[in-house]
Amino acid sequence: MFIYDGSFEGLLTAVFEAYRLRDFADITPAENYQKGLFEEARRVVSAADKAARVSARLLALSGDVLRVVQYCFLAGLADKEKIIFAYIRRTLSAGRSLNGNYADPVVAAALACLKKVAREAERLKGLLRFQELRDGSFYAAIEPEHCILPLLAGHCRARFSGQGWLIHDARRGIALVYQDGDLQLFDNSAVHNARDKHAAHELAYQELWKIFHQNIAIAGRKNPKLQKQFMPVRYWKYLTEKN
Amino acid sequence: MDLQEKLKILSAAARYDVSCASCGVSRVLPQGLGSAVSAGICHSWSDDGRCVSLLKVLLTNYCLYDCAYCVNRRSNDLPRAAFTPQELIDLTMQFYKRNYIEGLFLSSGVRHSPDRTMEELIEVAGTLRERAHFYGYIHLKVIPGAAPELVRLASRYADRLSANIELPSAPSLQLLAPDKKPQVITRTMELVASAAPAAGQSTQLIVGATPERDLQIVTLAEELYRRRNLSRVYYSGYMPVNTDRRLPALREEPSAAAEHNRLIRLREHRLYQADWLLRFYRFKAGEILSPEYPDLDEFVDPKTAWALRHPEFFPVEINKAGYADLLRVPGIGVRSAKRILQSRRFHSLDEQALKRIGVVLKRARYFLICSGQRLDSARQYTPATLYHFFTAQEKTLLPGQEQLVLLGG
Repeated sequence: MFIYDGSFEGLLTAVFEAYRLRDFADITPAENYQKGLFEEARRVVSAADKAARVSARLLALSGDVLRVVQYCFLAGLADKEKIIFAYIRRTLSAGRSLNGNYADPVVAAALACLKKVAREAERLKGLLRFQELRDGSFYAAIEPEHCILPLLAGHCRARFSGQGWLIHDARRGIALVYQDGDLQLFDNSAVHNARDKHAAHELAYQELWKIFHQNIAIAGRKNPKLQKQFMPVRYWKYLTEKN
Repeated sequence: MDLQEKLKILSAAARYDVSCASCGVSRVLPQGLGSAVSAGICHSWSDDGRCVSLLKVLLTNYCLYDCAYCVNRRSNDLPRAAFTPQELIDLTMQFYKRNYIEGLFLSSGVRHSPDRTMEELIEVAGTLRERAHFYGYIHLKVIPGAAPELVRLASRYADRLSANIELPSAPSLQLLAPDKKPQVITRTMELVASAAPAAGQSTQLIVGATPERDLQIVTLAEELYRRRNLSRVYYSGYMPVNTDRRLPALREEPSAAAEHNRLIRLREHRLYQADWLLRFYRFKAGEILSPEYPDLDEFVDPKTAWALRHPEFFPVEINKAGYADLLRVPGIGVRSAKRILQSRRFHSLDEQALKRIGVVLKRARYFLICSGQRLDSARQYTPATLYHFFTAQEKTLLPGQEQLVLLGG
C-alpha cells in the first residue's frame, strides 16, 4: 500500500515509486487510509522531479493520456486512484495510447471517470450563479461532486474578463479568484455568507430572473420530472430561480 | 408599466418560440463581456422541461397581424407591452454577468411595419455589440418582408437569424395567417441565407393545427436542410391558445385535453427523432416515411421502424460494417458507431465490448452479429415479433414466439 498526500504531484510520485520498487500495490490518499492488519504501508513523500518524470513519460505517449489522468484525479470517487493507476499501467505496458479502445475494461473505466468529471464541469458552466457584491465583484458558490473548479477557470476567464469574480467550492473549501486579470486557486478559503454584502440592485435582478424563468414555461406542459432529469435537485441549493 | 410587469408579459408572449439554442459559433475576445462556445450551454431548465439558454423575449407583443394560431394576434384581448432598447440591453448585460444566460433571443410582434420592427430589433443588437461590447450569443428573428439591407445588417450583429415558416404548407398558411404571404416568407428565408449569419439560419413550424401528415413535414424539413441550407428546423406541437373555427376545437373535458397534450408531444418527439435521422444518420425523408407509411409510428422510434421494414439489411456485422451501416442499427447512435470504429482497431468486438462502448443492446442485439456470431440470447425473429416485443415492453421473448427466420441468417 502506498500512501500519498492527496496532491496530484503526490499521486504521480507514488506511481514513480511503484515502478521503481516493482511493487504495484494500491495507492491511497492519507485521509482515507486505515491500517490493515498485515498490510505494509509506505508513505510517499511528494517529489516534483519524480512526478515530472512520470508526467513526461505519459505526455510522450500522447497528450490525451496525461489529460485522462488529470481529469480522473479531479473525480470525487473513492476508487479514483485505483482507476488511474490501472489505466497508467495498462497504457505504459502497451507503450501507446489506448484511449480509442472503449472495449478495454481498464481504459473504459478511466474514460467513464473522465466523462463524469467533464460532464459536471460542463453542467456547472451553465448552472453557476453569480451574485453582485457591493464592491462590484461577483460571487458564486457551488458544491460539485467532483473537483471541477480548475476546469471552469479558462471558460470563466474568457467570458467574464471585465469583472472581478470568485467561485467558491463550498464542499472542498477552495476558491477560484479572478482579480485584475489575475487568476488564482486558494485552499482553505473561508468565504462568508455573501447575502449581507449584496450590491444595491442585486436582489432586483434576481427577482427579474425568477419572473422570466416562471413565465417562459408553458403552463399546460409542466413536466417537473424532465426538469429534474436535466437539472438534478442536488444543484438547486445555489440556483437563483429555485430559491 | 414597471420592468417586472413588462418582463412578465413579454417573456410569456415569447414562450411558444421553440428555439433556445446557443450553438454554432465560437468566439473569445480580449475585452468586453462574454464569449460563445460552439456547442452552446444550457443555463437552466424551465418548469416544462425545456432548456433555457437565452433571454427569450419579444420586443413588443403589439401586433398588426391576426394569425389564427398565435397568442399575440391582434384580436386577442390581452395586456400589451413594449421594451425600450435600453431596458433590453440592461437586462441582457445584467443577466449575462450573473451567468443566467448565454445571450439574447429577440423576436417581436409587428407593431407598425416589418421594416420598422426589424430596425428596432437591429438597434438593440447593434447597441449591445458596439456600445456595450457584448460578445455573448444573439439570435434575432427576421420579420418576413423586411428589406434586404436590414437583413444584411441584422446578420452583422446576430449569430443566428430565423424566419418562421409557420406552417407545413402554403395553403395552411393562407388559411391561418392571411396577413403573411408564403412567397414573402420564402423570399425572406432566401435573404437570410444569402446574408449568411455566423451560426446559420433556423426556422419553426406548427404541427397539429393543420392536416399535413408527417411525410409532408419530414420531406419539407429535408428540403430546408438540403436546398436552403438551414441549421435547424423546429417543430412546435400545436397548443390550443385561441378559439377559432379554422383550428382544431378545444377539448373541454380534462381527460381529452390531457390525451391531446400527450399525443401532440409524442408527435413532436417523433418528428425530432426523424429530424435527427436526416441530419446525423444519413437518412433520406423517403426512407423514413412513404405514401404507404405516411405517419411516424406511435410506439417505436423512426429508426427502429425503418429497421423492421428492412429485414434484408440485417444483421450488420459489427467487426466489418462501415460507419453508415453501423448507424442504421437501432441502439447504435453516433457516439457508439464512432467508438466501434475506433475500438475495433485494437481488437475484434464481442458482446461485453459493445456493452462498455455504450451500445443499447436491449435493442441492438436483434440486428447485429459479432464476427459471424449472434449474441447468445438473440434468436432470429420476424419483424412482426420484434415489433410486438419492443412495444409490449415484455422482459424476454419466449422461445415459442420464435417465428420464421427473416433477419438474415
